[in-house]
Amino acid sequence: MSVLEIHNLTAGYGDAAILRGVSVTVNNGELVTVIGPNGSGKSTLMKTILGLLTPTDGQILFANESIVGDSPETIVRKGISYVPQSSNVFPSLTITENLEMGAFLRQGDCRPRISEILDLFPDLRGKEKEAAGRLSGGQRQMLALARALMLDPNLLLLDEPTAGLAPMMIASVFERIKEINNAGIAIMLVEQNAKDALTISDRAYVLAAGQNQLEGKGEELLHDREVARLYLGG
Amino acid sequence: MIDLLGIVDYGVGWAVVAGIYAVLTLGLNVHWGFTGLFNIGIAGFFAIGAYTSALLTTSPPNPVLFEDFVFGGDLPSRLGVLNLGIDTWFLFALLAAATACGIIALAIGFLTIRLKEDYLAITTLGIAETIRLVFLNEGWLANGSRGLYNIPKYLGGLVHPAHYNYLYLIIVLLVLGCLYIAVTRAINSPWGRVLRAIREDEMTAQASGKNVVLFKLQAFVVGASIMGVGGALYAHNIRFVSPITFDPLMATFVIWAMLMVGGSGNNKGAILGSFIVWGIWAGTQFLPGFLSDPNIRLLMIGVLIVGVMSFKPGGILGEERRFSNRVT
Amino acid sequence: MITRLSVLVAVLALAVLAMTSVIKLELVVNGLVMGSIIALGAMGLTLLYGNLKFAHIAHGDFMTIAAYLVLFVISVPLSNLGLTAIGLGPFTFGYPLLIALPFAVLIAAFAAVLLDIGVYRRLRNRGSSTVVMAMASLGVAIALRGLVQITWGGDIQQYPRLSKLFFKLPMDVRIPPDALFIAGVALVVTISLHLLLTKTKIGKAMRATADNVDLARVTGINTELVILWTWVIGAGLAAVAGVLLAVFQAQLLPIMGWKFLIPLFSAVILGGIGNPYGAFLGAMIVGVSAEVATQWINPSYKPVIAFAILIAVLLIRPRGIFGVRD
Repeated sequence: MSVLEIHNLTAGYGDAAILRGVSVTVNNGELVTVIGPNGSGKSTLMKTILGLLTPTDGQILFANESIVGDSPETIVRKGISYVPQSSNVFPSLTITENLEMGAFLRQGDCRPRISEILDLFPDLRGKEKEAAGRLSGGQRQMLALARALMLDPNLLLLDEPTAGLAPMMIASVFERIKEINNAGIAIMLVEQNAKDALTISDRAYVLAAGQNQLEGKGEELLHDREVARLYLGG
Repeated sequence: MIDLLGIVDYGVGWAVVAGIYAVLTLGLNVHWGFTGLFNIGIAGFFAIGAYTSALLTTSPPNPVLFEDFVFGGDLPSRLGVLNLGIDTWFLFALLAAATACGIIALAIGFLTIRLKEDYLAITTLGIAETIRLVFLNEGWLANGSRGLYNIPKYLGGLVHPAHYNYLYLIIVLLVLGCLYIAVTRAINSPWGRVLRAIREDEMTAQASGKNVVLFKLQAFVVGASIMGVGGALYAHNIRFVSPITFDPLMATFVIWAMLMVGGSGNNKGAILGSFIVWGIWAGTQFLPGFLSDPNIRLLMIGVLIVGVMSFKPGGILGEERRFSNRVT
Repeated sequence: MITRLSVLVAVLALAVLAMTSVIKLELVVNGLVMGSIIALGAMGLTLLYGNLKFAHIAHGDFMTIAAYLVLFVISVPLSNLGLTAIGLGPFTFGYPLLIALPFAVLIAAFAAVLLDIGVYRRLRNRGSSTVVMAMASLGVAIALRGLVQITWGGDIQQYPRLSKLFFKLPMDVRIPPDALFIAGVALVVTISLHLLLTKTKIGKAMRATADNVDLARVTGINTELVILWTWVIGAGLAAVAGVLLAVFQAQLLPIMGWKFLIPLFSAVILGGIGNPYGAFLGAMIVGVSAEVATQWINPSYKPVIAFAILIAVLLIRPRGIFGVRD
């Protein structure tokens, strides 16, 4: 059963098409990674799914319903959460307030939910009143992830969650991502750290120049010679 | 029985003012239309131009009449010696007005031209207000709130006072024409192309090695000088200047409306807009009932600006088609 | 940290100078009262700047129209109902002003919402630059002033008032009796704003949107709703400021709000755009500086002092005291 189906998506900024007929599927509970060189359209893909960009052609189906043309708020309400690559927390808000904003669409008291989420991210406990802008890079990434989980999404889109982090933090973040996936949330991951990402993925796609190049199980692509040469550093 | 001559007389008087405003709008076009400088302190340059010309040409102060100011240039009589068959003092007065504005624009621009557009707007507002306060409070400068009157007529002796407006209209149109040609030449020159490139995309222009700040400063000075000429023309038309003459409505907002309506970025548009808006302005006098309330004009100008921004930001003529988009 | 320290040092220095009579304490006190009026306007203006991302040039005229609306409510409906009392307690005005004030605030907020829906939203959706939005607000400012002048004319007006003696405080300080009311209202409103921004969902959403509007959208925050609330609060604050200004100056003029733009923008930029706490502090600095300067400079030049502060901030530290680097 597919959670997200993208068929032949074409999108870009102005006249330049960055995505030129991309197709990706994410099934229930899967962890799917999209890798590829810079400029291949990975980030653009995410932004188009989220409704921040309007595609010029192609389909995007979420739970078998088209979401092309929906506003970001509507898409979030329907059950997709997104963590952008950078500027992904509200710096002048505290950790608690950031999480509260994650639950904006929910009525009622969100404190129990915040407590649940903080259990998953022990690094953030004890710092609830601190302004997000003061946190370290790794802590901010955790907060961004935590915020995205507040609404209990069906699908989580993560745009380069480990960019700019120290190696130890990277491992920690991937652990968290795997844990979240194990709890049943489908995840689509866009990553530069291809090797680590493929290791935890069920399936993966390789994108280049705005088009699909390869597709397969995470394990397979991890040991594929082409992929290793081009994207995993030999 | 319609007094045809009276109507024509009125029309000429109207055209004189419209022409003067056209000069001011040309100046604003250099600032905003071509360089993207958001100047809402036009009144300041308007005043400086008018006062400079007035001070240079008015007779020295007469203490008996409680005239506080210190300097009266009395140019007409002093330059009588230089009469080359025709009075030259007017030209000097205009040049002086332009120069004074240019120098002040240089000083202000030096400090502020680097600012982002909306900061620049507030800054120009403050500068205009400061200029107004200085003229109001420093009586020694220009007679404070009493103002300068009896500003001499140019070539007054040439025609009967009743027909002077016709002569002045010719003068104003001549000045307007010269400035129009000069500005259009400048805009189509390599210098002008850089300005337009800066307005389109400042960062790209910067990246191609152009000293953006210098160009903006030059445009600021040029536009201000033109506004100064407009001020001087105004002073010699009304022949009385005081700080109240340059209130925000008549000396800033109406000029913005003129540029917006006619088409910013377009010299012809600037002139067209001036005549149209001034036509509407004068025309409202003849509307029935409450519509002829002068305060209606404020409302009208405001709605006009909002309307143009909302529906036709390019104005009537839109931007002038350019010959080349490249930055040389 | 350094700037906050220097502000503290400056305040202490000011206190010392006032106590030793180098500066007249009365000027400082008057400056604080004026500062609290500026603060109400500036906090609204900075919130609009932070969330709507443009310089709201019509902010001053919102102050003006609210002041005149109160005049109308006092002079017409309340007067017809026989409610004409003046001289409430130690103040010059009567309780009708207190009744009229909330009406003016509501109408101002409503007008702001209408303007957003009718004008600014259209420009926003078109992707208009911040200058185009500012220019549209210039048009709104002019139109508002036109409305005021058409309806009430250009002469000086006043709220019905009963002259009261100035309060005499120690150290030669004489303050107008209404000053306490003004400071009190400003304090209550400021605290309410603080509570709104820190304890309510929409307040936090406003702060989040000011931080990063794209992130707010993908978080699921209804940014259009946040924008409408920002207008309501911004216009409401401006309305209160306008009425207090009319009380303090004991006069209403159509140009009163427009003239206030420079001190407002000075306070906003000094405090750091988008930061209401910075705007509050900036307003106090501008208010006190302008008053204290009159000890040596012609009082007519007070607006120039505010302007000088603005220029100084833009040249030395454009992000202001609490601002983040752009």
